[in-house]
Amino acid sequence: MVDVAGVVDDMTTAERGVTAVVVVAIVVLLLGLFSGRLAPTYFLFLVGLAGMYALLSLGLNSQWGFGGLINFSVAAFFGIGAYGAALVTASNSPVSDGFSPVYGLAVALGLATVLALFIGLPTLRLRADYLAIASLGLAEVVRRVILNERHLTNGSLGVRGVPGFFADWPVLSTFPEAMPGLRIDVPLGATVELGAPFYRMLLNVLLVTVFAAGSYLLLSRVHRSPWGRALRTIRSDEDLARALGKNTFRFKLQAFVLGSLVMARRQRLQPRGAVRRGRHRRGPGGPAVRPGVAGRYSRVGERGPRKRRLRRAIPGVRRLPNENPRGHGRRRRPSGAGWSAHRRVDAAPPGGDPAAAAGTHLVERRRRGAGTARYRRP
Amino acid sequence: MTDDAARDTDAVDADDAAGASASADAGDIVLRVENLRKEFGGLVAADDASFDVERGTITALIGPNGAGKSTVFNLVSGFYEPDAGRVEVDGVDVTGLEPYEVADHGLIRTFQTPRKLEGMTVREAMLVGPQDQPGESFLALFTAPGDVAAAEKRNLADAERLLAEFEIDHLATQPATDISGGQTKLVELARAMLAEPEILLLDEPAAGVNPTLRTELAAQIRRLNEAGTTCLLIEHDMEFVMELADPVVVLDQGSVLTQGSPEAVRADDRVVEAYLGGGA
Repeated sequence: MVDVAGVVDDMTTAERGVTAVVVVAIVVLLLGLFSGRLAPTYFLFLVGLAGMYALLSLGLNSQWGFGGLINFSVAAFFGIGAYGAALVTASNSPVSDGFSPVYGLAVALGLATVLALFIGLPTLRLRADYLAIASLGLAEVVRRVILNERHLTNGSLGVRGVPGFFADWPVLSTFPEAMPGLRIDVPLGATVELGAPFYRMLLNVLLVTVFAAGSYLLLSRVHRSPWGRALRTIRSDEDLARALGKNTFRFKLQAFVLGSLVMARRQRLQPRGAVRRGRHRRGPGGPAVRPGVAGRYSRVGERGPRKRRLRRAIPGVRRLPNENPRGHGRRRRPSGAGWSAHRRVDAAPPGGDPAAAAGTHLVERRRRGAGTARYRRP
Repeated sequence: MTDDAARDTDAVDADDAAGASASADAGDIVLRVENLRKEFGGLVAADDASFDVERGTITALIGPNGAGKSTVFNLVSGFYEPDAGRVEVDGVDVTGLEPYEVADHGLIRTFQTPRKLEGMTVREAMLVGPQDQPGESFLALFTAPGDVAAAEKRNLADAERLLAEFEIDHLATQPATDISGGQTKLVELARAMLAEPEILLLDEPAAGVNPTLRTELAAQIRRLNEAGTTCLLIEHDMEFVMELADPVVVLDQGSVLTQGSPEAVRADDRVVEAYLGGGA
């Protein structure tokens, strides 16, 4: 048994504060789930999202928290990991075609290491300010390269056709479809439905959880180790560490690479269905209420809000010149599912649909096939 | 250790031997500083400074403000790179090496105003001291956890022993940020001893320390010295220096003005003039 009181006693005030916020968030999410306000898949999506941000935070903590290395290019490391993996595994990648996602992960980690060394080697011999300045520049450079190297990255539209992490695994690849659809009456009176999207999301969330928990345990261990102790000395007083015979450059570089590797793993966690935009399937128990922000979540690249606004401003224009020149992902878009098409769903899904429970109609607005479910009162 | 004892006896006789660097037996010299020079812009902070520190002595480096004492300390410990000159530790040239490499050759320094280590207890802050810990290699944490644990246990025992010797074992579990300035200096001294130095450079050990602790600090430095540790210290408190150090090296305007026993230095008119100003 875990001695909860003992664990709380050992915590610092800050740790208690963070723990309290996390516990409250979990309680709110569970209440949402059991009252039927949150669809199970969306509940899992939120948990997965929290896990991914936890990974980013853990990575940043091993740099900034352990060694005082101020890194403003977290997004650059996450992005380079994401694109590295996507270009290796995506079915319509211009670089390769359909390698296993495990190789994608290896490539992501390799690229993150190279990038960390590239920025760390020249700056970590200097004071902390220089790494901070260089990392600001790096974030912008990586963003610019990703946006402008369209032959590789498809610009702001992003790489599509990225398979789920378990796509080629023996049992797990078919697990979501193989599981039976379930309807469960939850304690607070709602009925939830569990279909293939739920199980698919469940796998992804488990993956995030394993990565986040593994990272936490690893970083906790190294934080307490002599290696972590030397790093914490460097953070407090680098001159003292040098005078005591610590090669501060080596410690800082290792911490920087370690943090970058933790950050770069975030990319493996997109829900598979959303990556394949336009695959809008119904679960076995009726129409699945899909996560409202799955579209945003699904893309490796950014949505390009400026372009979207521009399109809206010009009636009838669905594509701007030079947008998606190679037609990435085009073949996957179902016909008639344009970004502005609205579809009214008359038959509200039974039980789990909060819109139906509230006596409302569901109007699903399909945006370029990615889909965003919104609820309107009649 | 009989060799060390013999060297100690030699050192006691060597009242005015500090100036005779060229003829001294290399085995007796722990630190040799030759013609060190360092300029900052147009300011010459160290100008042909030369002196030796013999094994088993407590050598003091004194001089008026701006004489270049701290610059020489930083040059010797690798924090500054000299424009000219040479530094040897135990006969090995360490000129221009990084501070951690100089420390690796057995020269450990302390700071005038050490920053306190946040988020660590005093015991944990002590454990930063030992050199070449297996657990400081990231890979070894996973490839040789047994070695790491064994070394950690050994270092912890050494740290506890030193805390007891310095009579600060009651502070072991306190946060390192919560102890007084004088206690921090004692912890720093104890931690430096965990590195098993050939020579210990103490930068103003008595500065900002209350009189009771200052006496305690002087007694501890003397105890370390009697146990075989060679010390080089910068200090402004003349009473502290005269009570503790022999020989004394006087710096003025970046170069060595004179050196010798405390009595000889105190009687030297040039030293009085350097401290009180020229034109008398």
